[in-house]
Amino acid sequence: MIRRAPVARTGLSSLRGSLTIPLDHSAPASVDRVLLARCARGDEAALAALYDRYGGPIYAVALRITGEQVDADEVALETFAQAWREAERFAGDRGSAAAWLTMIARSRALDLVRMRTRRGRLADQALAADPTGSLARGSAPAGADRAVEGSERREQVSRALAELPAPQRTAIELAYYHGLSQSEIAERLQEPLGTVKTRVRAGMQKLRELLRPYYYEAGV
Amino acid sequence: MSDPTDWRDLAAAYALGALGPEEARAFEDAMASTPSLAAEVAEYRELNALLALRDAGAPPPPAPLRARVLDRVGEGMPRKPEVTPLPARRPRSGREVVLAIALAASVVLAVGLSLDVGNLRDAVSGLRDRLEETEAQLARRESTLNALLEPGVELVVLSATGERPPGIQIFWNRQAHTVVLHAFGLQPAPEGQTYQLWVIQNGTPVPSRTFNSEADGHALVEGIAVPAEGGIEAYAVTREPAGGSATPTLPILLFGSAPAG
Repeated sequence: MIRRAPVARTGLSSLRGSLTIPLDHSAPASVDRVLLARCARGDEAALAALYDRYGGPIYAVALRITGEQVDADEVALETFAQAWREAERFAGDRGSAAAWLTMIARSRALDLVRMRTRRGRLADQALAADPTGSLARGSAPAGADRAVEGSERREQVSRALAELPAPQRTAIELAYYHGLSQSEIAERLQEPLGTVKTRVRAGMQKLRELLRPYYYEAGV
Repeated sequence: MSDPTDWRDLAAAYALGALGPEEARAFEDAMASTPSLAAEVAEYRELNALLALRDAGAPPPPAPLRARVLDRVGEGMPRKPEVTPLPARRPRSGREVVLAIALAASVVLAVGLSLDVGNLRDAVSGLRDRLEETEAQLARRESTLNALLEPGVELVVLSATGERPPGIQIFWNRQAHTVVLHAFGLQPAPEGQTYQLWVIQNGTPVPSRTFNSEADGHALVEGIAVPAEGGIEAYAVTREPAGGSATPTLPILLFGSAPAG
C-alpha cells in the first residue's frame, strides 16, 4: 500500500547530497541464476533469454579465437548446449554465469583451433594484422547496448585496457585469443620467458584492480 | 614452486590457460589444497568474462544462430522432466535402500495377509501432507520466478559500500507497476526497528513497504505496488522505527537510480 508522503518536495538533488554511497548498475546477475535454474528444469525460453544476454560476447570471442564464422557458430552452439546440460551443476558454483560461459566458450574455441592445427597460422595472421593486440579495440554490435549496465561495463573494460602498456596487452591477448602458453608467447615474441611472465601477471593484476567493481555479480 | 606466493603469481596465467601442461597440473594440485588460490583463479575468470564483453565487436552473431541453439537443446539433448524434482536429497545409504525394499515388501504383505492397514494409512496421509507442503512451496517459488521473468521487468541495484556490503535488487515490472525486492547481506534490523523501501518519484520520497531480513541476511518481498503515474527516479532503503515512517530518516542505507523509461 503506497501512501503519499505528507512532506514538502525535497528535491532529488538534496537527497542525493546526503548519500555517501556510489550508484551502481551492475548486471542483474541473479537473473542469470533464475535463468539457469529454469534451464535445469528444461525451460527453453530461459535458455533463449540467456542467449539474448550473452550470445553476443560469446559469439564474438569464439569468432576472434577461431577466425571462422562456421567455427564460431559451432562454439556458441556447444557452449549454450553445455550450459543447458550442466545448468544444475553450475548452481553450486560461486562464480558468475558470465565467467562460466566465457570459460566454456574459450576452452571449446581453443580446442577446436588446436584440433585443426591452425594455431600457428592464425596467430601469425592476427599478430601481423594487429601487433598491439585486438583487446584494445573493437566496437559494440548493433543493439548490444540495450542494457545500460552492459555499455558501461564495456566502456570501463575498454578504458582499463587502454591503460595497459602495449607489451602487457599483447602478451595477454596471445594467451586469451590464441591459447598460447607463456613459453610459446616468449618464443613468438623473441622475449625472455621471465619477461613474458611478468607482463602477463602485471597486466592481469592491473586489469583486476581497475575492473573489480565491474565484475558480473556471482549471484546468491 | 612450493611457496604459496609463487603459486599466486601464476594464478592469472592459469586462468588464461597460459601455463604449460605440466605446470598447469602442478598448479591444480596446489589449488586443490589452497582455497585462496582457487579464489584467486575464480576472480581472474570473472576478469576473463569482462574481457569477452569488451570483445563483442562486429559482426554480431548470425540471426539464425539463436534458433539453432534452441533446436540443438530441443533435439539432441535428453528432455528434462516437466515437473520440478523435489528438493535435493542426500543419496540413500545401503541400509535405507534395504529398509525401502523391506517397506515395499511389507506393503505387499499387508495387502496379501489382510494385516492392519491403519499404520500404513497414517504413513500415506503424512506423506501426502508433506507432498502438499512441498507443492505449495514450489508454487510460491514458481510464482516468484514468473514475476522476475515477466517481459519488461527491469532491475535496479541498490548498493552500499563496506567490506561485505549489503545489496538489494529491485525487479521492477513497469507494466504491472509492481516490484519484487531481494536483499542479501543485510543484517536484520535491531529490535523495534524495520527497513523501509522508498520510491523516489519526481524528487519526492514516497514511503513504500517495510520489511526485515532473515538471520542469514536475505529478504524477498513480492508484489510491492509502486505509483503508476510515472516519474520514478530511484529506489532507496532506510532503517525506520517499527511500523515505518512517512518521511525517510537519514542517512539512506542503500540507493539506486531507476533506469530511464
